Amino acid sequence: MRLLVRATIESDAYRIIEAGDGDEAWTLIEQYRPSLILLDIQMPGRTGLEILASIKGDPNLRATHVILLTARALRADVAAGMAAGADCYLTKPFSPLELLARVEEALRTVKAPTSNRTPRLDVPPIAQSA
Amino acid sequence: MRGVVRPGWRGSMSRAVVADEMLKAPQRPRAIKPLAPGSWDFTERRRTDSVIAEMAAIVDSSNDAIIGQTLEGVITTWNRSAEFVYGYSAAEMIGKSISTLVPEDRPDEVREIIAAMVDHGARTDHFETRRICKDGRVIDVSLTISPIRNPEGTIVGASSVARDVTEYKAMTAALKASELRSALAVSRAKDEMVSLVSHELRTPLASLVGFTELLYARDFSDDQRKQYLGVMLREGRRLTDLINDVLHIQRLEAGHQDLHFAPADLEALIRRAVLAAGQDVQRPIEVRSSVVLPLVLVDTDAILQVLGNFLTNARKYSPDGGAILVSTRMVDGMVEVDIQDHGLGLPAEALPKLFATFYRVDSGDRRMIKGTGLGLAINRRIVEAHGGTVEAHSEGSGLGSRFVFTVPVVQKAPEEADVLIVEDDAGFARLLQEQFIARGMTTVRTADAETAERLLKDGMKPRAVVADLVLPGVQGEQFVAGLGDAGKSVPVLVLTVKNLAPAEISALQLAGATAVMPKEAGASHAAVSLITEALAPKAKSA
Repeated sequence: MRLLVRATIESDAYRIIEAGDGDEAWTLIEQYRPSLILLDIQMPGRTGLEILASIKGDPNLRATHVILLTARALRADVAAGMAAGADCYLTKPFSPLELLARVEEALRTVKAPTSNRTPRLDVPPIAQSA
Repeated sequence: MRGVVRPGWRGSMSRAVVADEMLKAPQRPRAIKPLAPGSWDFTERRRTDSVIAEMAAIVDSSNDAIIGQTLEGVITTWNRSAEFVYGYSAAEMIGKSISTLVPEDRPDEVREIIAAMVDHGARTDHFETRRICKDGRVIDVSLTISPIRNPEGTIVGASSVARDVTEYKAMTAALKASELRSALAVSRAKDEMVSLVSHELRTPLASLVGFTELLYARDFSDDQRKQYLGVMLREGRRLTDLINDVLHIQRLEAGHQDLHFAPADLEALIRRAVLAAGQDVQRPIEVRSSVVLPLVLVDTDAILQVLGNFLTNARKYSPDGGAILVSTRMVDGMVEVDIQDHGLGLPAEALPKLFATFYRVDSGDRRMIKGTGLGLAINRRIVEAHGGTVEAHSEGSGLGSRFVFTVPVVQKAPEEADVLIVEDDAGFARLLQEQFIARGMTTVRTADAETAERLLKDGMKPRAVVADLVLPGVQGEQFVAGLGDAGKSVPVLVLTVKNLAPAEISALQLAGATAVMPKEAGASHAAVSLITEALAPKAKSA
């Protein structure tokens, strides 16, 4: 799954870092402060929704864009994610081209405020399956 | 009739249904009509008295409250059960209005029932309502109200039979609630299954659809394209495995999976499973058995799958290599099979959940290992369908895992059977067995040659042998040749799909085959006829 996301959005324009589970993801997020996070909801360790809550609860990270990826189209999860401040969500199987469009849209809106401060980093979804 | 109502009866229900009517019909009781019409002489009168007394006793001993009332609602009779049900004695109630018992929220109920009864002459059956007892309790009752007629047929009163259904209603309500709860639990479990399946299926599907779209929309280097196609193929296969496993589990759960139990040589099954697992120098499989095992009663295909799943897991979860040991022993009349690896092991908290559908141990070291989370669930269902048990043991993470399952042994050595059938196709074997049974012959079927050899070695003396050539382990040709003298003294029929050359047929006949027949339509019938004929003279001489 991470390979698919990387293959989709990989270009000279973005730097991408990957995490294999929720706990690793949180460590990398705190360390690299990415502009955009592609977050799987269901994964080992911290769940996507827990990480989303931590991001939105941290003043330094609150502006980070988050796109949720979810295999289960459970309304409750999606509603919780959107209420917690996710930009949008994609249900598996999703269209890579749609994902790319969403990523570009999200990063366009953050370009100005963050470009001086931090390098642009995207943490792709963190999926159990590589 | 008044004379019949002795003082001692007062208040007892005798007067309710029976006597009440008689109040209005002194000459002849209509409700009880056991007597021949005729003159009303003294004898008849006495007999009537005794009948009335009998009826009174029946009414009195009834568990239902039986009350007589006038059309105006004045209580005329009150049986013993009415005393128990409502708490009032007959003395308290006779002459009182029936409305004493009726809750305030339904004041017109009795009047309406009586009015309907008078209008249509019909009785009201099992009308559920409520009544107030002497102590103020409101109880649920089921009422049956019937008209009481005078000799002219005019309705002059009503009898009501009331059954206290308070407990019954409470029990029904409780039952409904518990049924609802268990129905909800089942539906919740199904929802969870659907959501799990949906998640498990969508992930590989996402790779397949996603990469297809990417490959379609963009140009990639050859290396990239190959890499992506490789992922697609892998995920596609995983999806296939998942669907197969989910369907398999569902069949097992619904009991639709037919298991064909037959005696089997477990050691041969294990050898076959190890062979099927293939070579892996890093993870060699060693088989050890402390005793000669008795034959087990299993579905060989299903047990091969169980062994295959355990062996695959043992290798899969030994990423750094390590020997796998399969050992067998007898425990409490069952054969126990033990598969021990030196791999990742299992955390203690995972052990109870290990055999649950879609459960997978979650830890960093096994995240890269693919699995559907269904293999062990399937194993548990198959083993339990055999009457066996499965267990998982581990000293902890990094210390290897041990899986143990049991299968039943064949209780009675089938020494007496007429025909030994060696056939791995369970369906064809069953066809043969049914036709032999129809001709009065007993059969034993084994799914491989090894088991048949064991049976013969253990003293089985069949009067005929039917053998397939293409078998899972030892082949039919070798089996027939191995029969030796035993094969020459009884008819041995070879049934095969193989297109044999004349030389091969001769070789089989030389080895001891009485006849070689192609396995085609009608083969089972022809085979059974041939064996029956071959045995007929022997049966006469015996």
